[in-house]
Amino acid sequence: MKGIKLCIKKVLLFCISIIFSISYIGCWNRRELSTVAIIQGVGIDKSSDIDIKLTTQIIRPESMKKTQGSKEKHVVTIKSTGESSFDAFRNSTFISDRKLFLSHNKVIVIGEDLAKQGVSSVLDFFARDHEGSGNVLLFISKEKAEDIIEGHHDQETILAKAIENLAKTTSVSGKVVKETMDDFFKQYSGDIPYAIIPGVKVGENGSINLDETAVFKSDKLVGWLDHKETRGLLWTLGKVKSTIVLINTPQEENKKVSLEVLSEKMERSLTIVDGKPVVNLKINVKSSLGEQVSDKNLIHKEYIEDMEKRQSVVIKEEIENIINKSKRELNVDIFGFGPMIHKRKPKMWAVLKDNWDDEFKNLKVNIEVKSKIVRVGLKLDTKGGR
Amino acid sequence: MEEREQISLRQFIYIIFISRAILGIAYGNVEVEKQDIIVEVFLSFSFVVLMMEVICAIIRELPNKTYIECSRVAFGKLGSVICLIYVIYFIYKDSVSFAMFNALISTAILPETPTIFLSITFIIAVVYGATKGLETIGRVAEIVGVIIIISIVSIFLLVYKDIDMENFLPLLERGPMPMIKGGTVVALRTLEVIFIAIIAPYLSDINKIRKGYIIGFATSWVVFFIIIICIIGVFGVNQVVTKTFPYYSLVKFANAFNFVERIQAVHIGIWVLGAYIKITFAIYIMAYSLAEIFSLREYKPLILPIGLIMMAINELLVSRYVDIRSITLSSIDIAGTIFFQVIIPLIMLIIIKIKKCVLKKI
Repeated sequence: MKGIKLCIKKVLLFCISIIFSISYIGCWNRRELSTVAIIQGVGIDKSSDIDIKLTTQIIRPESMKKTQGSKEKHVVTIKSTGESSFDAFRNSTFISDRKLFLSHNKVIVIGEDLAKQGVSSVLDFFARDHEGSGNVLLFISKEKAEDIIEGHHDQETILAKAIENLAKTTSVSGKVVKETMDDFFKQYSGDIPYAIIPGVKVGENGSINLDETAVFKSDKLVGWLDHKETRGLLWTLGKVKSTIVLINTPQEENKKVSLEVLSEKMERSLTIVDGKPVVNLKINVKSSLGEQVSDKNLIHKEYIEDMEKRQSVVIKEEIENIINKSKRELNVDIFGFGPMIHKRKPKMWAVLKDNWDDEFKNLKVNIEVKSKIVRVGLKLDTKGGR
Repeated sequence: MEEREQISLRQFIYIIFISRAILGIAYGNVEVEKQDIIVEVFLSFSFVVLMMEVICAIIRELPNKTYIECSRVAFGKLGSVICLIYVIYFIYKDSVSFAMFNALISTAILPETPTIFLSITFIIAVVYGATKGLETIGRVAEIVGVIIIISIVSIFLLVYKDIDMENFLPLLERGPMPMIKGGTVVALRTLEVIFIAIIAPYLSDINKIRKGYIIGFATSWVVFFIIIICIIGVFGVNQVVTKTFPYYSLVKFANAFNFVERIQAVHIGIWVLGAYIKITFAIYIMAYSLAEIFSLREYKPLILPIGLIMMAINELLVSRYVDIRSITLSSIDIAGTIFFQVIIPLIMLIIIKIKKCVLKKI
């Protein structure tokens, strides 16, 4: 009797394990590597009044195999059109024999035409889809985005990777912003919707390189900032990690000194003067003497102090320039001054928020820059022997 | 009923912690009342402590009696009817949580899998676990609890560098009323206050029940606090309200040095473990209560039917995500919860006290 029971138990266990193993194979979202096309970059353009054009760059399956020295392209691009991003994305399966796989997408490039109409509507799909990632980097191109995606970079075989690395490494110049999709939606959903997205372009030798910075009011492109202006913006945000500031040599005005900024600290505060908000920016910059063109010996306390002052003036001018530009030309608060007032003085913000565009034009901003040259490098004097 | 199983204080704390904290991880955004959520967390905790004190007072009056027996002492024959309604209410409430879990899994990682398949596999495992009894659930909870704590702390460490405390300003912009309402909603989601009362005599040391309650809820609320600091600190309030599952988005966002990335699948795994403990415990409580109401000798045969009922309700609910959201925030739901979790225990306590006084005088 006992033996039969044990036997039944064993049979039952066997059946259950078979059922379970069969049912777990039925994991509907299973993807084999050989059935997916791994997307590296996406370009979005306006193709007609209704349609948008999607250019996707995917890794060529054969290039995954180790073939040394082959000069074949490692990526292919697929173009498709549709009335929305998702529509166009799915339409690309007409061309691709594999299902497109979005999780490893690195960059999204948007054409200027589309950017002027608004980008949040085309980006929604990439943020909503379960395969999408918020860490994707965004770029705007003055040319068609498809030209960028179809372009090449001399150092990298995969273009999207090159663009991604460009944005990551160029932060040492302090003249380029980096914007992920999470950043974009954070800025776009803020009290004063805006966005700043770096640009890419096809360079002179056909290689892709970084361009000026695009400024968005709400999600529509309103203007471009050149590299100096971008740095001015970054100073006010406290995001300059490293950069080169050029100043004139004391007592030898036609020659330049390059100062390498080592760190920047930014503090913002808000004061009320005559019932109007006044923003105070305090910026502390530490830098090192990186290069001097003149033969003059600059390693004297008074010269260093003079150069510190000159550096402060240069930085202050850059900041004033960008603030004036955004007040007069762009008419958009890209510094987050509005949200700052909201956070510190909620009651005052309730009055100001409805016509912040006008209030922003009259907003007074006090800038105070303190700089310190903490190091001079491995050399004291250029010539010596005096 | 047969002789009672026993669980230790620590297992008891872990069960409370997992059942409550896992809900917070799933809902996340529903509880967000702009920046004030941070105050709301403390407020809701004090509400829960108040609810808990009422239950503890009942248990102190009638130790070694389950909640159902207490209700019979207080209301007589009506007590069984009230408890039956309680069970129906529990089934409804936990089906909603179950639907929420399913919604997260099907939205986030398995969009092509039919939801019925997800719920069938889940319910099979849950029914199996519940038939094994409370001691087993307690032991599993000890392991799972530690895993959940580790996962939440590690996510916190990963996103720590991106937290911007400025996002919490300005506090109390919209006055105290929405905050009190939000705090009540969060506190009322704590079915575990009643659950624990039902199995109170199972605790090896009944006098420590209050301590268990407080530690269990306090740890859950610490977890909520960490979650809220993370999601609002990283995304900012304006963006959190646009996300369906903010904590899941946060895990997706978390990365370190470009090599710890895409850990959301691990998170979902851990989180399914927690949901498993929660639903298993809930089904066990329901079956146990039903058995006691009808004076059955065994509760085990009731587990499978309850599981199937929950699955059916879940299929109705999960067919539209918007329905789950509107259910959890509807005023009928809130009113019902207040009735079951505040008013009935309070009436019960008063009647029991009065009865005791009257008996003493005689």
